Amino acid sequence: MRKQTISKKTSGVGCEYVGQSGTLGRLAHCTPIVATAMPAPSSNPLADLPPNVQQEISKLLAKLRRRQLLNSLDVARKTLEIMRLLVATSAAAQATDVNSLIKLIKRAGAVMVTAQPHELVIGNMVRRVLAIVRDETRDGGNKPFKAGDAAAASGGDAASGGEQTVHVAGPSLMSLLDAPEALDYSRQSLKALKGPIIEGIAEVMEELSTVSAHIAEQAIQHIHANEVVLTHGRDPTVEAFLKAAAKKRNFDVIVAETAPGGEGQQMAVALAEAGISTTLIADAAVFAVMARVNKVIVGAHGVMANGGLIAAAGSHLLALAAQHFSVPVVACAGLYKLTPLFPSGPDSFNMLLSPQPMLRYDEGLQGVHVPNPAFDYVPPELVALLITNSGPSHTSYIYRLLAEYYHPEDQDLSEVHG
Amino acid sequence: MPAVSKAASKAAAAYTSFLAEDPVAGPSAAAIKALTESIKGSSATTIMGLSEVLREAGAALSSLRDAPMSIASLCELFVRFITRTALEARDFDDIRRLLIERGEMLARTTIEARSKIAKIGAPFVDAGGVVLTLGYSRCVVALLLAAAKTKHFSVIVAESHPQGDGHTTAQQLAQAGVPVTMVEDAAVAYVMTRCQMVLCGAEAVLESGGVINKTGTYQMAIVAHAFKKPFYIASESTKFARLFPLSQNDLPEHESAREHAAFVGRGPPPPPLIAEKPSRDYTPPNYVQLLFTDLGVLTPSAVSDELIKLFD
Amino acid sequence: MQHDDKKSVAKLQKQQVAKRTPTQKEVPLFAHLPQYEKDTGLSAAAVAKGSIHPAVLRLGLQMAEGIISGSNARVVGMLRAFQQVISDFEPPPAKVFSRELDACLKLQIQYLVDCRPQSMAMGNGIKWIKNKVTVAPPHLPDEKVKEMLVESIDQFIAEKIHIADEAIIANAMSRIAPGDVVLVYAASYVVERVLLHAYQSGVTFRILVADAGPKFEGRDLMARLLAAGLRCTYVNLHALSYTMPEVTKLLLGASSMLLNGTLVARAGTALVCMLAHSHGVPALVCCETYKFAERVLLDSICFNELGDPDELIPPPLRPATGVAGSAPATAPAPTAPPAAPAAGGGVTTASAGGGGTGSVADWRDIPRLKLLNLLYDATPMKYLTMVVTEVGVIPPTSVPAVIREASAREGV
Repeated sequence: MRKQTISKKTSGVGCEYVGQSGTLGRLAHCTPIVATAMPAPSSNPLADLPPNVQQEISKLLAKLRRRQLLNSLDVARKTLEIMRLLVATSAAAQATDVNSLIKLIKRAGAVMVTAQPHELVIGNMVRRVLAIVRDETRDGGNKPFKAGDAAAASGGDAASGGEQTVHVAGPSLMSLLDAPEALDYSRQSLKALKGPIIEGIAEVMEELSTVSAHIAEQAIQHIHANEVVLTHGRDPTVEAFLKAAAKKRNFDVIVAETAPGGEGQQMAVALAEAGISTTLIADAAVFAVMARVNKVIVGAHGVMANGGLIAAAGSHLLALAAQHFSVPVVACAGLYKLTPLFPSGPDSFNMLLSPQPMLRYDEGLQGVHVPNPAFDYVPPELVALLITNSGPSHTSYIYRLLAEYYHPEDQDLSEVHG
Repeated sequence: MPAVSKAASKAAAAYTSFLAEDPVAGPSAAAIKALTESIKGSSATTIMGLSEVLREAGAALSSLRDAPMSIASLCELFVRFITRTALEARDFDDIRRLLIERGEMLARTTIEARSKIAKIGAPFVDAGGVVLTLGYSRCVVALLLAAAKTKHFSVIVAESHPQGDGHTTAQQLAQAGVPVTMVEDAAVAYVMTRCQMVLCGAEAVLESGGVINKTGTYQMAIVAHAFKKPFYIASESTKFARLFPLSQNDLPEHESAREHAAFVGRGPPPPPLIAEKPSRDYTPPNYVQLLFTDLGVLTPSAVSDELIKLFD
Repeated sequence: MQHDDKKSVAKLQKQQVAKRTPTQKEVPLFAHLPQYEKDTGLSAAAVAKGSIHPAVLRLGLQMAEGIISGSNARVVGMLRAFQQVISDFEPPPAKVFSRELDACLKLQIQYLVDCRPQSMAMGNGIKWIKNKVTVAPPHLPDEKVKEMLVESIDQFIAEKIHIADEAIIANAMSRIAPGDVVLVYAASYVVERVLLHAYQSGVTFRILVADAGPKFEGRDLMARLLAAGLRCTYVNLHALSYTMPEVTKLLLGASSMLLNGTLVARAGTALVCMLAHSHGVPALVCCETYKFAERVLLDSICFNELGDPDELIPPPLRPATGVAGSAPATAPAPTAPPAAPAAGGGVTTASAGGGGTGSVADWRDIPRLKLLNLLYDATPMKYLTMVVTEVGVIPPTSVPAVIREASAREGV
């Protein structure tokens, strides 16, 4: 077992934190104390970026380290702002062609992701921007990029002609015989494309602001009269979802208190004050009440490429109990939480927090290991439905959504071609 | 007509010789080369003619014993390409030349496909974990060797009696310094609790998202499912085949040349005893977590999507 | 339990020794079970009546406050108190001794139930003592009968609890192998002793103590284990999924085991068993045979115990002696159960936060909010691997067989 010693600020005397026993490789996904594998080991990896961008990145990372910025939506927005700034000021970094811009974006993204690997939306937004850049380049900056167009364009001839006849996001069975990707990004000038790229980023930001509303307006289709809904934690998307349904339907909600943070308690109060008949229970009673629950509705911190969820700790227990009683589990998450990465168990993209809420240091207990993971991994077979701002889908459909919004070359942000 | 069937038999002969020439490349590459050869050697002058030639060559190859089941989709790939390039109003000679060029390119890239698969699949092997596999698959071995470069882990190989392909896997891994344990096929359930993941190759990846592979694969997948261990498949995309079996009885007829494991050293089965020797079994998609292919990491539903796009 | 039937409720209220206030906000799902406010002055009415033995008075209060908790402790406490009641019992002259004693005991039991609903094991104990009283030979002088009953109780406790525990500990210890990672949940007397004995006999194994609110009984267990020198990991329920892959065995105590193989235990046990099952971890239940109950439960709702809903409020905000909403720095230690609350029923706290959105502490003021504190849950048989009893190690399917054997022997 490998011990992680976290700075004195968060740990304190008398308690040790131990990660998952055995597998060193898995721990690489837990919050590292020092950023690993920087491209330029001796100098500042952000050195190539324009100075104001470097500043913004440092500010964002500092906030995240101090856990001052916890809402994924805000993190996503901030990341997009940084990306927009980077594109706008890319001339200051001597980037005149698309390839250099892509490298810069990837560099910035890799640094941010390495510093906060569990904050999945950062990587997601960076990849969205990269997809916008690639698609604008391909389209010659003629028409504004819309995410749905990628799917529409595949299977038919795109306007670009030549030997590249079909545009699909990445390798596909159909294109096996096609010539390898002929688009050389280093030959494409950035000047004409800057405008459309920034417009594309603005569209994504616009999408972010409507995520909650679009998910909430689907609520009425999924909650019927006099249902008993079980939830936990305090995900703003889920809260909006339930409140929207309550405007038209009468139903009961049972909220699990979600120790140790107690977010469930706040959720219960908020829902009750909105006029929903709410019952607050302890986390331990979830199995007991599940016999009378019709649906489990949870939020997610991230949706992985295999359809699994990274969700608030305790979600896996909730989902397993629901499976026992054949209760469907519905996950509400905006598309910005969709990640092209695959998980490898409960350690993936997880974060071990201070044990302070469970055992205080002055209780005088020495030598106790107290794991406090922030998230759980919920395998896709336990999730019946994923509701995103673009509609409901089954977890097995995730790969399609991923192909629409991300480009496979951007899977690994630290890998740069050419 | 005689001319056509001669071409078909030439294709079959070409396949056998390509396979013998370069066994490392595998049957898919040999099949692609054989199809390309048949184009080179054909005297067709129209698009339809070319497509016919390809289809006949494909049929001839499919009838060979131990031919890869993906021949049909490989043919389809070529035919599709012809149709698409034809739409660009090129002249026939141009199309033919392009087709031959691309066919040769595809044969080359098929070999590279294995290193792509190894690269994307290697991160799924946990350091300190145990990987369970069955028999011998070039993709699986490549993947494990790639993972071994950066991590320590061990492998359990089920022998796959009586051909004993597992021994080849064990040897290649042991040479690279990976600790290998050899077990009998019957011991798979016994060792499953120790394993972190199960990885197998495939003879064909099907439209349902399931796979056809050597007998014993389905069993291993069921045991992995019972123990909640992930079951992964490593396979090139040239093995995607447009089949959708509903049960084990739906598989294409295939008579394997190998011995019957139950009668090794016992002579032929005495009547009224009936000996059944299925050479392949079908693993349905709900037992497969992910497929590592040169098109990327795919879920079984993504596989059917790819095949639908190709054939519709 | 028919608390949703008006006639039954009326009848019960007439019988009650200590008057309980029905809760302000009843949870409709559990309308068939008693839901009371946390009452003070439980003993006042009983003392006034004068018919409750002081030992029983004390026991009732201790159980209501949670000072005595856990099946074994409560059963032993109850039987010891009954020993005193029997010894001190003076029947009115010219009356049948056993009938009078039976009526007296009924009153004591009613008081105990008013303080805190009986557990299933207690129910078994009550049935047993009543049976003993009924079959007491009528020709014997009263003193002799008293002696006999007191001795029977001693024997019951010795045989069914102390000696049984020794056997269970021996059986369970043999199942802990070197290198095992043993998970336990909340606090169980027998499980604690199994762990201590295994440690003392030199077996090297690791312990994970799983725990959950609102009672956090695992903390006390862990403190005792640490004091004895064992190394532990403390796992709150939300962290259980993260740590479960390392676990090799699950060791549980029980409140009761039922005819359909269901385990009744502290709320949260079902979740732990289910998670263990999904990871292939065997679940061992340590349960004395006297706890086997002749009833069945399909879920945790038909029969359960509802505790004080205020326990769900985080300690810093609880309506304890005037420190509502105070800063966490002065919060009482989380292990202490809420001391005699100044607010009995229905008194709301002055929400220190005030203003717009309320906090959970004000739940009584928020009309649509109810709090539910379930004490037990029922774990289905399929998640249990083995039951360790004093008659040996049995699969959960054999529980009804053991019950029938026992009742055949007792002639009950």
